[in-house]
Amino acid sequence: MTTTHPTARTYLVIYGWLIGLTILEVGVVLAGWPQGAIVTILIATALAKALLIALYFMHLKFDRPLVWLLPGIPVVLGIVFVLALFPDVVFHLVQRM
Amino acid sequence: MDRVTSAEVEIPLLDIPAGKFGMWVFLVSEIMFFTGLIGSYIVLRLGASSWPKPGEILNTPLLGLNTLVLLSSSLTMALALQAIQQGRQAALKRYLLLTAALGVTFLFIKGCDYVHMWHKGFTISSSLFGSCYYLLTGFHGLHVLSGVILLVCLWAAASRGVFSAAQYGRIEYSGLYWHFIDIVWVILFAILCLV
Repeated sequence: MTTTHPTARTYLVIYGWLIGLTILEVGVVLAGWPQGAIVTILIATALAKALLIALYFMHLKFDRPLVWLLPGIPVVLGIVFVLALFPDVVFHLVQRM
Repeated sequence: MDRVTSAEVEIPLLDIPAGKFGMWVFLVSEIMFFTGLIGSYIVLRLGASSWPKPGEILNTPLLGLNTLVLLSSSLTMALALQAIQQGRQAALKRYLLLTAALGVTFLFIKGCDYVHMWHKGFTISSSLFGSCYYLLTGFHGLHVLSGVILLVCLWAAASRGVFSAAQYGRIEYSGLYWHFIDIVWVILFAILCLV
C-alpha cells in the first residue's frame, strides 16, 4: 500500500494555526465582546480547529473521500439528534413566556 | 509530501489498512458517544431558564492553557508517527514519551481545576451546569487517561524495537485515537468553558 503523509513543516504550520485560533478564542471571551459575536466566533474557530486536526493530524485529507464517511455519518446523525429536539426546547421556552 | 509504504491487508474501496479501518469503526462509536453527551448538553442549556456564565465559575485562562497542552500533544504524536516512518527509533521513543507527559500534564491541570472548583462550592450536584461540566470533562479525562496508558504501552513496545519504517501501523492507529481526544476537547472547551 502507498499513502501520503504531511511533512514536519506542515504539522508545525497546522500547530501554529491551532494555537493562534485558541488564543483568539480566549481573547474574544476575555475582551468581553457581545454574546452573539462570541458564540459565532467560537463555533467557527472550534469547527476550524476540529477540521484542521482531522484533515492533517488524522490524515483525512490524504485518504480517499469515502473514508470521510466513517466519521461524517455519526457527526451528521449527532447534529440531526440535536435539531430533532429543538421543537421540544422551543415548546418549553414558549411555555415559560 | 513523503511517500511511505506499509504491507498490510487493505479494505477494498477505502484503500486503507484493516487496522486503520478497525480504529475508525471504534472512533465512530466514540463519536456517537460524545455527540450524544454534547447534544444533550446543548438541548439542556437552550431549554434552561437561567445558566451561569462559565467565566464567572471556571478558570478560563487555566483551561486555555490545558487546551494548548493537548494541542501540543497532538503535534508530538504526529511527529512520533513521522519519526518512525523515517526509521528514527530514538525520535519515536522521545516523541511518544513527550506525548504521554503532555497527557499527564493535562490530567494534572484538570485535577487542580476540579479541586479548585470543588473548594469554591461548584460540585457535580450544585447545578445543572455542574452536572454537565463534570460529566463531560470527566468522561473526556477518562479517555485521556486511557490514551496515556496506550502511549506508555507503545513506548515500551518501541523500546523493544517492535516498530520500523515498514511496521508502524499501531503508532498511526493510536495517533488517530489521540487526535480524536484532542478534537473532543477543542469542542468541549468552546461550549463549556467559553460560551
